[in-house]
Amino acid sequence: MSTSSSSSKKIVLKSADNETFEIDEIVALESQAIKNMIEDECADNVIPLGNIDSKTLSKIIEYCKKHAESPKKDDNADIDEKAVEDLKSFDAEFAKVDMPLIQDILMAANFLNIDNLIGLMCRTIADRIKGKTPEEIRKILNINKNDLLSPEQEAKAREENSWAFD
Amino acid sequence: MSDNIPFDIQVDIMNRLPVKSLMQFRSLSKSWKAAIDCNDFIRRYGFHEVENHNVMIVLLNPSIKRSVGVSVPSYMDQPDSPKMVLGFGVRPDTLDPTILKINYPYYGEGPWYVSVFTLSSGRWTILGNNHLPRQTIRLKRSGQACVGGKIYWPASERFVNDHGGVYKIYMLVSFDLIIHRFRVVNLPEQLSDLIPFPFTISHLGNSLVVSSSYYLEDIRFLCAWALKIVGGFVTSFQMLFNIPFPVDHVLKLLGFTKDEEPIVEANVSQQLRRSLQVFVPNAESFQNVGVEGDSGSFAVGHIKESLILFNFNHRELIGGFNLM
Repeated sequence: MSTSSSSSKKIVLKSADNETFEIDEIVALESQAIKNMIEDECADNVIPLGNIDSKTLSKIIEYCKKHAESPKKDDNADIDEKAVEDLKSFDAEFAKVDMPLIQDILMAANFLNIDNLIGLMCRTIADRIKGKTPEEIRKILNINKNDLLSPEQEAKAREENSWAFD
Repeated sequence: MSDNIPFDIQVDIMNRLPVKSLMQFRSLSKSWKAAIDCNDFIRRYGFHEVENHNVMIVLLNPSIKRSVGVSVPSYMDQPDSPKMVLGFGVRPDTLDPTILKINYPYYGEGPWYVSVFTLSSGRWTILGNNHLPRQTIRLKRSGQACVGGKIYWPASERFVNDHGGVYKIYMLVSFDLIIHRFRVVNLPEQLSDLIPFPFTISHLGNSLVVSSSYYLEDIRFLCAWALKIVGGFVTSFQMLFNIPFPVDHVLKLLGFTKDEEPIVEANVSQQLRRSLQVFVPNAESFQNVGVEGDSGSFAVGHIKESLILFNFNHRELIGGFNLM
């Protein structure tokens, strides 16, 4: 026996900067988009991901590996409490990266359709921006100038919620 | 990746922000303001926090600005009885907030399933069959009123006559917040002759108020009667008002201001949007108070300053389950 997973089917993902990642099919199936491709049999051995760089992709694979290994809720009625806790602490550690990478992971997770990861990233962003000023968030989310309220509209919106500003 | 986060995902982020931040971020951009102010968003807000797609009911005490979430466990779903009515009242002697979850089938005469949650117990309990009304009775979902330690709903029962015609008899159904028992309160015949069916329900002081509208010679009238109920029987009733209004407006009585002016849900344009309006007797007209919403989305209650919820951590989530 070489490795325990050598017998399972492999999928190769190729990042925008042409780095390849060989992963077990079961890990790739965490992505609904890849799952659909495989089910529709339109996935070649190598799946090119032209809009995801290697740094982001390796994070995504790290996440999918962990979640693919963890026992699934619907497999067994009495879910191992410890496994649930373990996954929670993994998620918390996983999200401890800088904001640009969080956003890249979110965009990639959205593209690959990995529901749990989208949720985790949204929750992380919400936690990080909740104490910030609108000005700071406009920078973070790169909000278009044309989308800004006029000074009068902004004053009115602030006045309507003056209680939220104390 | 330098692209912006797609807007539907930004909405997902908004959905996970605390209310206070959301209010501040209304000034972030036009898109954020529009999304946060949108009815759909408000309705769905916060639902991500509840695991396993459970329903959560939030008890909020505005006097002390405290809230407690009560989860309705998913295994309390009744797949064969999907129609759900929620009731809420405060037990008069112990001030224990009480939530009722009533289920029965959409069609036909299936049985009722009722679970009761009391904040003091922190648990849902299934109500025994002997506490329920006849299973042929159906509640109107147009609202409830809480008077004298009982929750009241308008209700109806469907009958088929000898010729196969279907007719309904309207009544009130009450739930006693102390002994946790339903009771059918029939309307006196003289009153049944006066009220156009179906009617809505509200309260004024210690009286239950039933209200409805009818046409008379191209004019529409909104009328309301105050009912005194003693021992499960309507002992007296009195007409409160009978107000004419233009035919193309749709009005539904919701409650009263502290000066006892009727508050109504009104449709004044061709759209489905409804607005909250108050009848001003001096002007003899309804005035828009500037609150809009979907049809059927308004409910009016009264505030009695209290310390209910004081013993709970703000935003705590509770709600176990108990089989009797």
